[in-house]
Amino acid sequence: MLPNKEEYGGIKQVFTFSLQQYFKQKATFVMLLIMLLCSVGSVFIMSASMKRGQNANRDGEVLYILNESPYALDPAELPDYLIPETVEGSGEDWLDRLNGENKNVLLWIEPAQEGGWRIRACTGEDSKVSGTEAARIASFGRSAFRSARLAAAGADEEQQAAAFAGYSAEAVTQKEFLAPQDEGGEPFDQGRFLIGFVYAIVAFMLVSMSVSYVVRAVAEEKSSKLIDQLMVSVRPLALIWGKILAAMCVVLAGILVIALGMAVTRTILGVESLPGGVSIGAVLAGLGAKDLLCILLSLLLGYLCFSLLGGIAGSCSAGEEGTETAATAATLLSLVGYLIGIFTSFSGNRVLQTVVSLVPMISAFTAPARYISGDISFWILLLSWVIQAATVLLLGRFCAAVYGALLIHRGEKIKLKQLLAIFREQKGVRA
Amino acid sequence: MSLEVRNLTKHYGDKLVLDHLSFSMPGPGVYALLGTNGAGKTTAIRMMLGMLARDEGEALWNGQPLKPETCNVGYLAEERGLYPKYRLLDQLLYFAALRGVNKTDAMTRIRYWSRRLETDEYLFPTRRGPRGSQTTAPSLKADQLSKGNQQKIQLMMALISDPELLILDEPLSGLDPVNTDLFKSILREEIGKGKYMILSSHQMPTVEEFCTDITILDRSKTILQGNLNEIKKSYGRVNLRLKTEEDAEAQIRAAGIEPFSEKPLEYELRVTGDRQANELLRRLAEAGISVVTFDLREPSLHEIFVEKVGKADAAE
Repeated sequence: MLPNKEEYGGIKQVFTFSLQQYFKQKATFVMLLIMLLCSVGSVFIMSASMKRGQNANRDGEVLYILNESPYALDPAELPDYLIPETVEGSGEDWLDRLNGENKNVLLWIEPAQEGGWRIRACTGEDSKVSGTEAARIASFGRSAFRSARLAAAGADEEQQAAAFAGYSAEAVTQKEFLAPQDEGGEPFDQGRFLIGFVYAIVAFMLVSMSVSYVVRAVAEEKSSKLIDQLMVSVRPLALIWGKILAAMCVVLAGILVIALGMAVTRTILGVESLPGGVSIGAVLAGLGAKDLLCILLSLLLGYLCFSLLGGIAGSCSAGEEGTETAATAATLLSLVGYLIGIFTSFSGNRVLQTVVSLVPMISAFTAPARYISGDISFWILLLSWVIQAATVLLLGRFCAAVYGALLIHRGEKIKLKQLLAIFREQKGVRA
Repeated sequence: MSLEVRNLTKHYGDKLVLDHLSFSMPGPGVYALLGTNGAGKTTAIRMMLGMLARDEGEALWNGQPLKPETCNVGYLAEERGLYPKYRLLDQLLYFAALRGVNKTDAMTRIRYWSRRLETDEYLFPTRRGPRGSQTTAPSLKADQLSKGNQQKIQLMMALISDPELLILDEPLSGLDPVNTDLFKSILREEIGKGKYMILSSHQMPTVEEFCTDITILDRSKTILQGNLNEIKKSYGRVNLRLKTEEDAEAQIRAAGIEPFSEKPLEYELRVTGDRQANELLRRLAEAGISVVTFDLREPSLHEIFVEKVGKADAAE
């Protein structure tokens, strides 16, 4: 299955030349600059939106509490960025007053007509408090009211915690019931989702950018019409691997710029947590060296798989005008992997997670995140790598057989049937 | 050293594109691979160089399979191009590196060929500094050059490794007369160094000028092969160019020759051989016609090519 050593002769020269040319192009620096600006900008936006969410009314705004119930709310359970002020009187009068105070909110607890209680976070007509923020305050109010009622009934904190502990209900067969515990589902966990989500984004960025670079590099090779002269000195496999590795360096440089930009900006702005309150420090501290190695190896294998696909897609295209179509096809495939990576982050079904961690191409987006989250064992991750490595070798072999013929090919774009025919033909007698 | 090509055969699906091509070069020289468009010349070259898989056959250099590891090959392909946005010097150094030439030697060779091919102004341009001094500027990008000058850079790419075997596919097409002469002088220089050269061209006078042996391909098949002089000899001296001071049509007809004239008193005649030519000359003398030119010669390669291909096509 492995091509012989001669097939790789010249790979270093192709890599060096391609990388030098990437970094001699203004477009590469413009791309890196845009990435840096985007990463810095995204942290700014994240910081601003979190501050707005947390501190929307911090400038002396007041949370008027009009509590018509007999239960005393604990102010500690209300948003700490609002100044609570217990008020009395008519709710309608307070609503009128809010029309002139566009940052203040009225938390109004009143008896409901149908019985029970009605809790509302009210704002004035021209209020600057967003609907989302008002709903959040209402939610705090509901929670504080619930605690106050239980406290009034004599329940201490431990009893309240017991009363509000989560539970689930599910229908199971006898087989499922007797199956080991870890075969079952687990409730949704925010940290686990976050790891899967962030990893899938990074993998998608890496793969989609790389595919685009490789497709363009191959199309450039075809349109330069230099290929005949090049192939006297270098084999097609070395040519594509040299280009793939050079593109990988450029994309990694881009990701490094993004990471550095985000890290530096985050430190300067003092952003400690992500939207949703998940601590960045806690997430990073939770990732050990072994986890990082798993992530890097999976990213590398995924990158190689998709880049080889990009190389084949690029050489199938009918000149530079077909580049977009070729890049789109390969990017769509990576998008499927990305979406599956995101959706499996929600799922607690371990069978599904094991399957998507083993399917080549898709596993690049899912396997390491699922391993770090504890959804799959290390052995499944290892098996996933073996399958991916075998896929890389198979694609490499396929490339070796068809790439040269496709690079020389001119005219209409190649269809899959023709591609397989070329593969069979080239596999026969090799020079 | 020797080059031997044996039974190269290629099909694309059911279509036969090269049918058992064989030839050899036991010593240095220039071998011409000729043929009509689509006859299989470029396919043959690609198969020799291992770019295309062969259905059958082999190409040997000193008895070893011909490949980059066994033979230092320089190739100027028919389909030409350069990376349009990359600097010329970078591209030449890249090709040199691929051929295993170190950077110092590569620069020495690039400077030599740049002078020979008159491309210094593109590869080593100078610009005036702020105090009027000349400084070297980066080389130009390929898309800043005319086609002819790009062709010079491509020839440099083929020559940069100082190849033992040089394969040139239509090296002179698209060149102006001045650059044609420049390229020809370089071909002569390489032939003088004892290189093995395969030339594929439609310019028959050029082939006649440089080549000793030829193969003519038509629709994938070899229709003529051998030493060019011997092939010509086998045809005999059958072309007669005659120029007279008086009308000679009657004497030409009397000698059994069909007269053909594009200009008054100038005739391009096809004779059966020396005897018929001498018979015509005798009749002209007897008639007192003054002969200005009487040039009896072998057929040109162009004529042989047209005749052979015409016959092969008629036989199909």
